[in-house]
This record gives sequence, structure tokens and C-alpha cells, in this order.
Amino acid sequence: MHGQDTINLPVFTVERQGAPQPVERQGITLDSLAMRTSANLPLSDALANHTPMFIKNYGTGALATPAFRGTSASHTQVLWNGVNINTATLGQMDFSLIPAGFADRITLIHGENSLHKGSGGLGGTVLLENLPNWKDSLMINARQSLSSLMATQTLVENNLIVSNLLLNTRAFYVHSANHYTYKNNAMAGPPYPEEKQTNAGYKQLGFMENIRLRLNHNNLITAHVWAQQSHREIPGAITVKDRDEPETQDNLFVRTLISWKNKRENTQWMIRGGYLYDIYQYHNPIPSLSLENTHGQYTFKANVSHRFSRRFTMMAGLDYDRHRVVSDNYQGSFRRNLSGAYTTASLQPHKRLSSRLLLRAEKNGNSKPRLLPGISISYVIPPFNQLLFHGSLARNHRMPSMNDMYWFPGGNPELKPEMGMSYTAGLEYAASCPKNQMHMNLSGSWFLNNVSNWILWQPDSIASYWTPHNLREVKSQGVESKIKASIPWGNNIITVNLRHTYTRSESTKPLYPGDQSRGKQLIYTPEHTASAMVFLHNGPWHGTTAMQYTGKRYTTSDNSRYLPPFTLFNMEAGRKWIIKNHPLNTSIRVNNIFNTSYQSVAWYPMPGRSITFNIRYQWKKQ
Amino acid sequence: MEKTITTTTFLAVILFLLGACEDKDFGEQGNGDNPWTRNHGLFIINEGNFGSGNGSITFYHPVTGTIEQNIFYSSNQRPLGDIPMDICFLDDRAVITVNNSGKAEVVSLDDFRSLETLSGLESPRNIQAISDSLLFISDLETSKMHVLRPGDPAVLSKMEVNKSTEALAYDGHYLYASNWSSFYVPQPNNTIMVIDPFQQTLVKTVEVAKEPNSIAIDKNGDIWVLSSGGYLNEQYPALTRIHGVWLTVEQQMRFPDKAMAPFSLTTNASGDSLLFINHHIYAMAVTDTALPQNPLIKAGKRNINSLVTHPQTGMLYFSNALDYQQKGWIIRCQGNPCVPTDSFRAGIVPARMRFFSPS
Repeated sequence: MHGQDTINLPVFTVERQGAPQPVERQGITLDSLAMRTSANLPLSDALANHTPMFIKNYGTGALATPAFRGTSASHTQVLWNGVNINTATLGQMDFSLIPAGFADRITLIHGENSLHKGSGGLGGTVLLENLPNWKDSLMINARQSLSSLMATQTLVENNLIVSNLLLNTRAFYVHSANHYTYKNNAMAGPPYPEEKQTNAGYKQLGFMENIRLRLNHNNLITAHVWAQQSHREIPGAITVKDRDEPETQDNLFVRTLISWKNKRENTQWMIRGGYLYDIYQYHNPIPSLSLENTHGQYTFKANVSHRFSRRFTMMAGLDYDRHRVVSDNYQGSFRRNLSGAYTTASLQPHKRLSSRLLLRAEKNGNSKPRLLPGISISYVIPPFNQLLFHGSLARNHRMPSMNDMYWFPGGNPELKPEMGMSYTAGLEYAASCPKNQMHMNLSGSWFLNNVSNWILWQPDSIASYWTPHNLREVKSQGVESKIKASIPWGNNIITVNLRHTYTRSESTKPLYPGDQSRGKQLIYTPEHTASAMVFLHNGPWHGTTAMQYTGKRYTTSDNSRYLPPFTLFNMEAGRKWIIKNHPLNTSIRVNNIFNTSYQSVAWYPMPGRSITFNIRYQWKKQ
Repeated sequence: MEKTITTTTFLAVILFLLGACEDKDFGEQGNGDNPWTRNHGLFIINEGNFGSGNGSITFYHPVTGTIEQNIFYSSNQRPLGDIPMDICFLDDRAVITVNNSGKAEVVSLDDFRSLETLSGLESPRNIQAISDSLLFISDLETSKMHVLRPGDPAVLSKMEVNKSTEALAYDGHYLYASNWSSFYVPQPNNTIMVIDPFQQTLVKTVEVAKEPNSIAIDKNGDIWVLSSGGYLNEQYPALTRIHGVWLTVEQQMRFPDKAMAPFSLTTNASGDSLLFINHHIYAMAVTDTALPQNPLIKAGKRNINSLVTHPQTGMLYFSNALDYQQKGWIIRCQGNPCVPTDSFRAGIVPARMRFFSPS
């Protein structure tokens, strides 16, 4: 009933139509259900709920950093519409500062595909994309949430099409007093006294404009602007003394991009330029200390691809990024010029086999260019075509962050880039039963990352401050598995998502005599994480139950201390109403139903049970 | 087939939920569970990491070689706090400063149970006992020293000294306090304060080199001060000798490189030698007129960060903090050259060691 190579089985037909998945699509893309349920959440929650990524979280709205495939936070790069937005100072991204509703597509990629988008993603890369909506000439989408943590969130989107011009505008505002009680295990033994979280409030205000102008059939101009301001209090660990006045952090950024895409029959080229600017301010009232970092980034990208035949496409591109950081933590300002060139060849030597070869060359300033090759393949396994094999191999590197190099005192300008070799192999199975609309996907991936020159900050025993060196060698490997099934049951449609990730990430080299960290799991890297989500849809009603399991996380490099596993359960129930042909969605969500006490980072308590009311109204010009 | 998938999926969900059952503990585990009992031996204060609440106290019995980890947690079922700094023994109790928790714990020396938690200390650092009923605690954040009169309850007061204070020493007459930091209290940080502890008056201020971090009193009663020269290597580090009677600077030995940061000055058991850490461990006689050229113990790849000598045997104990994220090692050695005899593991960042002999 599908195209060629379709095999009809007694009940099931094959979903895959014989052609392999294009390698550039390899990765984990949040599906529409995940995007819909995550729109009011920060990116940290969206990724933790729907991908194998582990997020180390200091509290709701507080610093949230990723640990993907056993690597550190700076080994996950974040690209917004193709441009790396990890901070140049720290080299990492705080995922609680990104509203998931500001992206239309969120994809987690790794291996060769990560290298294809840019270097540095030794663990992987998160792609945030804004996609055009050319369907709705005038659409307004408004979401409002109120939470028992004394939080309010508003997200508004407007889509307007005027002839060949598309204007998509978004704004969001979050304000949270972050009031919750927690069990204080630092004050006394069990039963632990209950205390109120203080000094943990935050607010964020963001604006985004996505403009697309179709000049003609072949030419498209796109511009994006994203401006955001955030303020938050930084609560200390519960072992640390209380402060009357909290430490605070303010961020302001403006990111602008403009690109021109030209597409002809077999050739496509694109140029993109942008300027990104951010200010970070930290204030500590006790020594009356205020620190400021400002970062400006010019970015330029260009690429051209040509399809030589149905089975052979080549692409070549150039990347250039110029960073300038002025920091109270540096002695003066520092610049960094990163330039790169890459070429890819996408081959489909056989109708079942798709592959891509990549060669990237990158240099920092006047350094010698480093060659970073990669290869991906994707193969549909005969005879039933329900099984897909994919694999990749890539050599990647990550430049030391500006703080690593220029922090005063302690920064080490002699640091070498961290080097990574990544290997992945996986199988995917997809089947569907059209008779009763049953779908099923199973997938499993194995990965291995070897990272050398891993940068580690340690107190220097000659001087008296902390300084980074290329010290550690890390081997990280694991298995990610997923089951997704959609099952009709009476008038209901039940969607089930199950996910499990096993990660073993260990230091392979003893650094000191008596070092007990060799062969031990890296800190704050759980060996096991798992999630299960059941989504039930019945006419205007929907319900979701989600479970998230986070395994044991060691807190010392010799694994002598750890945080025990925890499981969280969330539930949501909602109804869709139609008011004059426009949908109004209302829902109530209970997070951490069983009021489980847990800490993602030792001595930083997380909230217990909380309730959120959501309302969403969409108005479209009919 | 549909039924199979449906059943399999639901079974998987149920198994998943059951398999995810957890134990009730939610805080950091691995803190120890063997309550301490009164004994003589070495207390090792493991600072832990700033903001991580993983400081602890290890007890070592030199005769039997017994090691008891996390003795505060074991006796009290709660963490000691963030960055324990120092311990001081009185007749029946000990006082422990916990710097980033802004508190001092008063514990019983019978079972190490907390008798009292003295909160509201801004940034308590080191403790010096004048007698069993009078203690001084230095403070990094404020210009006041804490004066503690132990009892039930303890009485805490403050003494204004107009500077941040760090290292303390007592020669039976005067209390010496070093002014190590100018970060919180912007005053010159190159002085030693001579304090009459009973009158609580400042007798004299003696200028030494910048950032005096440790004080030792030798067998002649002279006061030795080790200065690191400044966090940003502004000045040369120096070792200064202050005359024990005249309270004047008698001698100052400058280190050859501003990038050096010597610390942890102490005397040997007989008080005729000085020991300090400057990446390696160095020893010198109190009569020497120049800094030692060759180390007593070479650091090698070790991150040496504290040392102490046994008051009776003269055996040297020093710690290696490794990567500062795991249990550090305590290494014992004797003689010159100091030959390591054995070693054992303490807690995270072992930074202070004190011998205790119950009366």
C-alpha cells in the first residue's frame, strides 16, 4: 500500500518506504506532543522529559546545565537557527534561561551530525529552530500559567502574513517567587524539619521576532531577533549560612541574525550574518561585590550545496565567529576569532544505504588548522525494511572557554583544545497497523566517546588560586533505548513513550599517586535515567501521566559519596473547548505528585508537589 | 498482534514504574555511621568544597592505626556544614569552626555529639584557646573577633579589631592575630595584631609582609609569621621573625619568586625547627638566617595542603588533596630526609590536623 519495497505482513505494514533516513535527520527531535506539552517550560525541563539528556539542576529557575552522553556541560553546544549561543565566557549554556516555547523545533544531535553543525559538541548539540508558518495569515496564540510556587508565565505568539512577508512575533514573561517548603536534611537527622525556600525568586522577560521575506520563488530572506532579560536570586546550599540579602544574577542578551537563501534546481546557497550581545552581572551584597561580563559576537556563515545526481550531493561551507569579552574577572578585554571550513559528500550508493562524509577544518586565531573528519551511514536492513541501522564516527574538538584561558587570576592561555572521538551505532524499528491506527517505534543506540585533554580546574599548589589544565582522559559509553507506541483503545488514543539511558563515563588515567578516581563514574553523571509517559486522548479531553527516574549520582570523583536515585511523577488533565471556532485549552498539571524530597545537586533542595493551571487560546483568521 | 503490542506496552509501563521504586533517603550518602568514642589521636579537618557541604572530620589513632571517618555525621546524623576550618579542645568538649556555614559547633569529647551550635558568626576561621574558659575565633568577613566563653550555654561576644583576622597564636601572655585578607574589610593586610586577651585590648600592631597566613611560636618565644605576598602575587612572600619580648621585627627572609605562595607554618615538637609548605615541604632551624634551599619532602605530583608533627614522637603527618574532589591521603614520615612510613585516606580536602590527648 506504500511505495516500492513495501512488504505486506498479515497485520502490519511497513512504515518505512525502503529509503534510508537521510543522515542529517539522525538525532532526537521532540515530537509535536512533546513540543505542545513543553511550550510553557524551560528548555531544561523539555530536554529532561523527552530526551536522554541529564540536566543538573540547582533548583526551579536556577542554573540548569546538561550532561549528555557522559560529558560535561561545556561539551553540549546549543545552536539557535544555526548559530552557537553557548556563552563564550563559560563555554556552556544555562538551559533554564531558554523558554522551550521560543523554538518551533528542538533536536538533539550527536557524533558526525553534531560536527556537521559546528565543533565543540563532544557530547552533542541542541538545535533550536524557528520554522515558518506560511499557513496562518493571521494567528494569535496566547498561553498563561499560574503555579502554586507563586509563579506566573505568559507566552504570546502572533503570526502575520502580508503577501510575501511573514512576521512571527513572540513574547514571554515569567515571574516566580519560588515559594516552597522542603525537608532540611542539613539541620538535623530524620525526621527532617520542614523549611521554606527563600531567596530563590526569578523573573524573565523575552521577545522574539522572526521575519521571512520571499523575494521570489528562488530567494528567501530571513531575519531573527531574540532579546531577553532575566533576574534571579541565587540561593545557597542549605549547609551554607542564611543571608538576609541574596546574591543575584542579571542577564541581558540581544541576538540578531539575517540570512539569504537562494535555491535553484540542483544548487542551493545560503549566507547568514549576525551579531549577538550579552551582559551578565553578578552581585554579592556581603562584600558589596558587583561583577560584570559583556560579550559581543559577530558571526558569519555561508554554504553552498549542489546535487550532482539523485545519489550524490556535495556541500561546502565557511564559518567565522569573532568574540570579544570584557570582564571584571579578566585583566582587560580579550578577543577570539574562530574560523572554519567544511565540505561534505552525501552519497546513496544503494537504495538502502545513505552516507555522508564530512571534513571540517577549524582554527583559533593564527593557530594551525585542525582537521576534523566524520562519517555517517544509514542502512535499511532487508528483507522487511522495518529495521534501520545507523552509525557514525567523528573526531571533534572543543576550544577552551574564554574563562578557562583568561580568568584572573588562574586562567591558562596555554590550554589546548579538548579532543573527542565519538562512535555511535544504532537500530530503529518502525511499524504501523493502518487498520486500527496503531504505530510503534523501537530504537536503541550505543555510543562511545573518548575525550582527551579534558580541562580540569584545580588549586595550583605553587600559587594559591585555582587554575585549569588539560588533565583528564575520559571514556564514556552507553546505550539509549526508546519505545514509542500509539494505540487506539475504544474512543481513546493512548500514546506511550518509554525511555532508558545507560551511561558509563569514567576517567581512564590516574592523575596523582593514590588517585582513586580512575575507572570511577564521573560526578553528577547518572548511570541510569529512565522516563515513561502515557498520553491519553479522548475527544476534547486529554490526560498525561509521566514518570522520570534519575539514578544514583556520585558527588566525589572517587565515588565515595553519592546522591540516591529518585523518581518523580507528574500528571496533567485538560479539556479543549471551541469558542466561535477557536480553540481554548485548559489544563491542570500536578508536578511531583507524591511530594518526593530530592536533590539534583547535593544540599540544593528541589520543590515538592506543585500545581499549575494552564490556559491557551488560539485565534486564527478563518 | 495488536493485543501483543498493547499488553507488552502496558506490562513494560508497570514494570518500569515498579522498577523505579526508590529508597527514602534523598540527601548525600556516604557520610559515615560509626559514632566516635573518646580516645587520643589525630583529628583531621577535611574542608570539602566550597558550597558543596562535604566537609568532614576524620579521626586517626596512631598506635592502633584505626581510622574513623565522618565522625561528626556519625554522632549527629547531620552534616558538619560547609568548610569546617579548625578544631580546639577544651576539658570535656571541642569547638569546631565551620566557615561558610557561619557557625561553630560545640561537641562533647565523650561521644562527639553536638552540645550547642553557635550560629551568627559571619565567617569564622581559626580558634585559639587562652584557657578552658576563654577562646578567640578569627573572622574573615568582619572587623571583629569572636570571644567565646564555653559553658552551658556558651557566651559569645565580639572584640572590635578593625581588621579581618586569620591565623591565631598564644604565647601564654599575648594573643597574636594575623590580618590576612583585605577583601571584606578594606584595611592593609600586612600586619600582626598583638592582643591582650584578658583585657581585650590591642597592644601593638606589627607590620610584616603581605597576606600573613600562619603564625608559629618557637622554643625561644619568638613569633614567626609566614606571608604569601598577596593573592595576585603583588609582593614577595616572606618569613618574618618577631622578637618575643620586644615585639619588633628581627628578621625577614624573602622568598625568591612572587608567584610562590608558602603557607602552613608550624614548629616541630621541640620548637627548634620550623616547617612550612611551599609546593614541597621545607624545614629549617629557628637559628637559620636563610630560607632552606632543598625541600624536606618533594611534592612530586602530590597536592600537599597541610602538615603537623606529633607532639611526642615528632613524626610528620602531611596531606595530599589529590584532585580536591575525592578523599585525600595523609602520609606519615620520620627523620631527615623524611622517609614515608605509611599513609591512609581521610576526607575531601584534608586541610587541618590537630592532635588530641585526653587528660
